[in-house]
Parts: sequence; C-alpha cells; structure tokens
Amino acid sequence: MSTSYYIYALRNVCKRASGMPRAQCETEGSRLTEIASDCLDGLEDYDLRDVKDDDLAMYRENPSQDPYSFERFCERLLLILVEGKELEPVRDAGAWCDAIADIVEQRGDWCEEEGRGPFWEMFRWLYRGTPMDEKVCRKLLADFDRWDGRARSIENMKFYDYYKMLRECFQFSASNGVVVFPYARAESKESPRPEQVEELA
Amino acid sequence: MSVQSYLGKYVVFFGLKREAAAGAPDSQLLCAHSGRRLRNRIRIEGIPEYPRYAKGLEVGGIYSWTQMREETVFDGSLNFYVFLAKLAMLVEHDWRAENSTCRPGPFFELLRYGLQRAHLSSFVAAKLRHDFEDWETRADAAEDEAFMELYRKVGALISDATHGVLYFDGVPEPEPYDFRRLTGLVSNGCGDDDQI
Repeated sequence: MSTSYYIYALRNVCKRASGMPRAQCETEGSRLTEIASDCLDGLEDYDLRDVKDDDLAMYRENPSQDPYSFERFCERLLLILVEGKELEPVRDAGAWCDAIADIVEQRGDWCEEEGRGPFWEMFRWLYRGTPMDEKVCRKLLADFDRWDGRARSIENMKFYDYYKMLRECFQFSASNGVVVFPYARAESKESPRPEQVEELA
Repeated sequence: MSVQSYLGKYVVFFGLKREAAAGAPDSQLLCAHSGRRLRNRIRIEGIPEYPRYAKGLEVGGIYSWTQMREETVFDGSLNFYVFLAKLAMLVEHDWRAENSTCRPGPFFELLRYGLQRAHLSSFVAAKLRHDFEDWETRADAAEDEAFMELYRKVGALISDATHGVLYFDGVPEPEPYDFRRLTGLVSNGCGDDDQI
C-alpha cells in the first residue's frame, strides 16, 4: 500500500448516527475513486452518497520540487505557538503527534475558543488519518484566522503558503464536511505488527 | 594580512546505525580480516560545552553509514567566511550568546560551531532548516548574488542533514567566530576588545 500525500476535503457528507448501518456508497464514475482506498476505509462513519464531484478537494501534501511537508509545517507552527519550544526527537509518527499536541496543551492559558490549544486537534489527529468532522473544521478554521497575523509575520513564504493551503482545506469542509489525511494511517498499516515480525524471523 | 584558510569540506552521512557504544576501542573501526580502516564507520565527535549539537547521537559511539554526500564550500577564496559574516550581520547575531536552555538564535549552531570538527545531528539540522526558510525572503532582499548562491547551497546541505548527520571535515577554527578576523567585515565587537 502506498503512502498518500493528499489531504482530502469533502463536503455534503453526513455523519452516520451510532448504531445505524453503513450506507452503501457508489463510487464508480465519481471523483471519489481518486481517494486512496485506505482513506475511504477511515470514512466508514460518514455517508458519502450526496458527495458530488465539486464536493471533493484534494490538497497535495508535498507539492512541487520544493517540498514542504506537514511535519515541517507543524514544527514551525509550534515555534510560533509556544515560543522557542522545540520538539524532542521521537521515534514514529504517532509519538510525534502526541508530543506536539501535549506541548501545546501543557502551555495552557489559551482562550476559550481554542479549547485544549490552537490547532490541537490537527496536531493530535490529522496525521494519524482520523477524519476531522465539520465541528473540528470550524474550530480549526477559527484558529487559522486567529493566528494568521503571527504566521505571516515570520516572513517564511513556504510556511505561510502551506498555512493558507490548510486554512482553505478546513474552510472547504467547515459546513457538512470532513477532512482526512491518511498519511500515517497508511504508514502504520505498512509496518508489520510485532508478532508478524517474529513469524517472519 | 596573512590569511589562514580553514580548508575542508562538509560531509553528510545517511543511514546511520550505532555499531558500538562510546568507549569502544578503535579496533571497531577496522575490518576484522584485512585490518584496514572501514570506510563506512565513524566515531561521533561532539562539542563538550554544547552537547545539544549532537543531540540524539551518542558522542564517542561508533556508527556505520550507508550513503554519504560531500559538499565543498571552500573554493580557495574567502567566500564562505564572507558568507558567514554577512549571515551573522543579517540576523544581528549575538556574539556573546552562550549555551542556553532556550532555543538558540537563528543560525547560532552554524555560526559558532560550523567550523569545528563535530557531528551535527538531524535535530539541530531541522532547527537550522527552519532558520534558512525564515530568513530567505530577507536574505534575498539584499540582492547579493554571491551571498544568495551560498545561502541556497548551504541551505540545501542542511536540508539533507535533516535525514542524516553533518560533519565538517577540515581544519577547525582555533576559536569560535575566528572567521570574523579573516573577512574583516565584522568587528570583533564584544569579543577581543573587551579583554583589552
């Protein structure tokens, strides 16, 4: 399974109520087929029947020859949020998500709308492939707007372009939508579980 | 003025794997059969007063590598030292800055220890890469082509080093910031003058 470098933003989706059977979604002939299969698996709690071609936006995580990755973006953003605080080296993507979210949460003293911290949900869950529902998208969109001035002020164009891209992504899904980035999800599926390693040995 | 040039090159090692802990004998650097020095083994050198430089690596430990990339920034002229001096001026580098627990100022590791024989870890390289990106627009605004050429070259080198470890393989500076003396662009400021 190949790693996905796309962040998918969808709108016109409904979150399935708990206990309801999974809705059959016909993807043939629709742009939904462009979504990586492991990403669709992650969206099993969502009803995608009404998603039209215009309701899907794909954002390249690593655009062009001059790559700027989600990890680099988040680490730079962290330096803005918690000034001078650097991330310790960590062993995998999951630990990285936890570490960065924990630093933000522990800093505390955020305004009420920022909840556990600005961008906290994005740091903690997005890279893991957890879908961000419309409520989370709206919260993150507000975070992006609130921190826009600071993000622009460091004059790092690569960073700020990425910032604008993500803002647009969450804006796209802020109403009846969902954003998913199955990067680490695909990665974690690729690596065999410990018991399988033993079997191979 | 006599000019001493710290000739050397930068090397980035990739695919590092620890083979022996610090204190292992030098024989671990040799081939067990031929007794020759193994090309793909290095012993990590740190900066005693600045352990953060090699963060994530075991100083004194022996590591093997799978790939390397060499980059010569020293072309027989003073260009590289001029680049460092201009970089320091651009960011208004604090020459007095010492090892602190906070995040160091922009390019601190490169300016202060970049001409020392030591291994710079990917952790520090990631910090420097942010510095290069943060300052690129302002560096470009100076419209100094020679400076920007080295800015991009060293930036790319640092970017590579985020996936490996960077080493200055050359004659080290006798003391930090000695490049100022060579270029004459930056006064010793608070350094030597204070001691008089």
